[in-house]
Amino acid sequence: MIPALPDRLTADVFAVLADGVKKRFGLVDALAGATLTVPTGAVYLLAGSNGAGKTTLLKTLIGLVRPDAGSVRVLEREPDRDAVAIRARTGFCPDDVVHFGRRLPLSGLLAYHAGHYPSWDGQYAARLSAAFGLSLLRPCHTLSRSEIRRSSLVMALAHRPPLLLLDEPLAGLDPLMRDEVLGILSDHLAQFETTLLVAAHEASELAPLVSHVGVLRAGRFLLQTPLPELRESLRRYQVQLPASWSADPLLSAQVLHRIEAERELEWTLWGDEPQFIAAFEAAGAAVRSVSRLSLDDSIRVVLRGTRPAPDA
Amino acid sequence: MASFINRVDPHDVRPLYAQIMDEVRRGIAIGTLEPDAALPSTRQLARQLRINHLTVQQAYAELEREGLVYFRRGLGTFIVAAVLAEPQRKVLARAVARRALRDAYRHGLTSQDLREAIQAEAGRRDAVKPPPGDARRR
Repeated sequence: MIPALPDRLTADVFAVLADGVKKRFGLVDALAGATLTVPTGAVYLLAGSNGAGKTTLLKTLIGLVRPDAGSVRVLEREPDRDAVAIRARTGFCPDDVVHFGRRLPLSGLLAYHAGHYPSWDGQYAARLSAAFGLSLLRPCHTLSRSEIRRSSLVMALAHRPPLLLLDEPLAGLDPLMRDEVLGILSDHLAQFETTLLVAAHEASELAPLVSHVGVLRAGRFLLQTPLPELRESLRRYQVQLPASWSADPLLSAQVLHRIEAERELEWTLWGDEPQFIAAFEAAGAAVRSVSRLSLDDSIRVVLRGTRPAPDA
Repeated sequence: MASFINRVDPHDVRPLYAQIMDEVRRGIAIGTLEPDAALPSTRQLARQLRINHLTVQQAYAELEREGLVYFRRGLGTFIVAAVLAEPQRKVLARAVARRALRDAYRHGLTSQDLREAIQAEAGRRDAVKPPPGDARRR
């Protein structure tokens, strides 16, 4: 049985609302009915394995990918019709390498980029570049992958857009630079009213920034939830069993992960803790401990635990 | 400006805002946060700890509700003068005890086991001489 998880978010004010978005590339369904809500002001972590559809979903939001079906609203506009207006108010840091084959110096690329954004802050761009250890005189075609990532971050942030879409912003950066980027992001979010949608398959370093998480698999959301609700609802129960025991269906329906030994089990359950403890105790079992999971573990457990059994 | 906290731990059982609150209590309890001491701004602390600024806001707001800090518009957040160190030590001690108990139960121990072990360990430490207060940071 697959546990029922909340796979939709509701919000009165949202920066992004995608409903039932589908996109097929050849034989592959990159998005298979993805429904995404990003509340205004949220730091939303878009999690999922490689190939889950994270990048495709981000690209549909700014009109770089046109969905086969479904509707998308970003900053009160539709990328189908107003992609230019949306892009002007969005900072996008792509995971793939674009526009960097040119021989002009990085400063020239930034100046070209700035021309598209009335709110571009040249001083801020210079500060960010310095913090990210970028040399503005370097010709673009000589930049390493890591330097390209850092330059893309400068270009995403320096016009202080109300919406930031960052695709794997920490990938390929060394630990010191990742820490620097996290510091800049915390500072940026505290300073400017920003909604951040960040796609990453590693959650641990971003976790302290995150307010909402969505777990995507095969183009569809398994889970979407505010972080406090995740902390409340997803817990690991260590339980001692009586000699004979049968699990309440209430419990077995909500198991995402199970480790079982003789007379002892460790189940990861989604739902109401007091209710689960009562159900264990009613069956004669003793709950020895209840613990929370890290964000990384939570995502892993959701990705594994919602997989249908192979013989099902 | 008193920086009362060096890091938060995302793996801790306490949510991040609660960790910040506990560090303020600790600062008051050991005297590093004196009456009217200014706390870092939301932005400064968010940047320093690489956390969401709303988490800092939440911690400060809860601390204000508990009467430990006050806000001055445009100036920042400050420790309330009338806050006594002693009760804060008690609040902190209770929280540490709760976590230790939970850990003990997880290992199949009773509160009695834990009490005895703490007394035995504390006895050994006291013989070596405990550090006075907690002047040093972790």
